[in-house]
Amino acid sequence: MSRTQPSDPLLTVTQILLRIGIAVMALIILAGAVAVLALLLFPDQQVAPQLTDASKGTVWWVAAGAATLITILVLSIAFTLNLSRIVSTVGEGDPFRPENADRLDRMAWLALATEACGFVLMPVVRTIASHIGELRGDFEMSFGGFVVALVLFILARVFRLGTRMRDDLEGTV
Amino acid sequence: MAITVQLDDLLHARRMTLTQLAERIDLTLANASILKTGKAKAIRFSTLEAVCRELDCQPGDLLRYEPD
Repeated sequence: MSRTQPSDPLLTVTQILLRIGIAVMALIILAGAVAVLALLLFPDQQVAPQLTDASKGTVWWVAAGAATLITILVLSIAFTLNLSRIVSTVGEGDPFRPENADRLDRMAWLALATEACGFVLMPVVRTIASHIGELRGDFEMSFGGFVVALVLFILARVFRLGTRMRDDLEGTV
Repeated sequence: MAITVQLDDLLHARRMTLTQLAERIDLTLANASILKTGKAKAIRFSTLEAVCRELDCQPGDLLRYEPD
């Protein structure tokens, strides 16, 4: 069932922000990929001499870090796309659909995967920082992503239940 | 479904149209039609009460259990 609602400014702003976010992340992925390729293909360039110090293998750590970061951004884009589709269904006045429960489930798995990538990225960044002598402060572990994933898994169940309740209500006279 | 709605028979016996019933019990024609065609998943006590009042019948006259 599709119900058209008057446009909600909050939803419009959210959609715009999400699309800007997707565009920015896509640009960062592109720039990051180009930078890492340049670093690998032209290690003799003196743009970032510390990063291309072959004796320590820093360039490979940088490439690994960039690859992990790009993976995180790709996961974040997928997360944001799912969120954007959910926001669209709210705008259409019909958010309690089985598809949205599936989207929330996917978002939860994406949040978990992002968190896992974060755990991979942290020691890589620490190694690079120690190689280039920029190791400052602590890299603290954050479990916020796990909490977000947990909340999303619960929300997916809430949406599934809500969809069933709405179906029942629609068949009630 | 094992529960069948006998609204059609009751309306015929009372010489009443579905539209008239819907107006009298303050139900939309669409919902009255859902009830009549047996597509409803549930019926509110308030709707049942209103139907019984207007058709001068008992809930058992409106609903029947038929094993599958």
